[in-house]
Amino acid sequence: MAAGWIVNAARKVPVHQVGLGVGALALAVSGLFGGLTTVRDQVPTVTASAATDGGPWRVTVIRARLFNDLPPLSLQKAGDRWLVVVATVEVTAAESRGDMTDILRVPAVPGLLTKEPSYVVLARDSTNVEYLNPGMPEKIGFFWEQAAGSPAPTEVDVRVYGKTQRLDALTGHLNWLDLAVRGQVHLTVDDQRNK
Amino acid sequence: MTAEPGTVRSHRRVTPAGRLATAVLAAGLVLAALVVGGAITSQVPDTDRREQSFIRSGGVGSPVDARTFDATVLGVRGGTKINGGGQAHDTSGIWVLARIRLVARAEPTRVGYAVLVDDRARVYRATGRITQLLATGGRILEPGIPVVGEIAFEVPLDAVTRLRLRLAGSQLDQRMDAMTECPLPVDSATLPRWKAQTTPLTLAAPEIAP
Repeated sequence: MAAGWIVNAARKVPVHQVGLGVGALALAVSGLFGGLTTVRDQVPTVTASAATDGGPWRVTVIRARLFNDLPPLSLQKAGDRWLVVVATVEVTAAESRGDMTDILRVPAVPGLLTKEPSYVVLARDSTNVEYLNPGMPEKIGFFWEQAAGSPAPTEVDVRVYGKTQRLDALTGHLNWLDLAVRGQVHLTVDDQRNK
Repeated sequence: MTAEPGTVRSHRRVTPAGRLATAVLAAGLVLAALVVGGAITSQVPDTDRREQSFIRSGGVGSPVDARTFDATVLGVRGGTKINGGGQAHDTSGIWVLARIRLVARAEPTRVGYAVLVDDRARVYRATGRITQLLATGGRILEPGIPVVGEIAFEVPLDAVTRLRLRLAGSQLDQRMDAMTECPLPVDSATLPRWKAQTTPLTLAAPEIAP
């Protein structure tokens, strides 16, 4: 009897009102279980000198420094400064990798000319890193140019990014994809500009 | 003459047991199709394997056909430092310099891909820490004119005695193309000699061979 009444009532209600009702109900249920809570950026914090597994690489962020001009690296604008983050990177994938500019970001630092580092330099001999080989950890400097008019950072949150190995939906090949944050390291910036 | 509706007997009697049997049969057929399909799919090579390079192997001193050029490994040497860009570059591993002879077959070509592969299938690209023309497509090979030179690699110490040199024409895409492979003649007695070699090595520039 009750079922028949519900069916009859449902037939009289316009479809769009049914849709709205179902949507409102889903929203209410979702809200009960925390669906309306503001999503916070949940990046795992890593202590400096602790390694972060980034998929094809393992990264240990060591320190951050500020420099004025550092020849032979060339600033795009005279008077700008370099923010340098030094990290040890080991390629754990099976093949040499040439995507070192993907590894670190410093998104909260104002006035950077580029999101990705302008230079990635081998600490061993100051050569640009084209490829890093598997099983050969190296200390690397990541250089960002900061505009002269922006406040020089005294502290910095360095984000370590990683990739996941999966089949590429476009090509069908197994590849390292999906660049995503794997950890964040808080560092005090060592200002070397007047030393 | 027409029969009254409901007076003609059905050819098949539909019973609850019959319906259940039909449903079970249908489910069984679907399951069987999924199992057979899964078995076939598991035997089909994946994209990486289907489109892999055609490896052509040869020993030291033997020319190997890479479709657009022939490559011959002539020898190998190593050390702890290498000269380049006006300075000596050290390494946490060891520098390996493979001496090779290249001849383009029918038209001008380049060697864009040069790697060493160890027995753990780790792949080491020719180093970018120094400028080298042979490995990065910077040297054009003219057909029939042999060029001899060296390619430098940086490898970890635990890999040095089990390395194979692979060469191919394209720098970016080696799928379904020929690739040469030659094991490098480095034994366990060689490595201590190379580690003791502290005088920086200088890469031999590519030159026309007699």
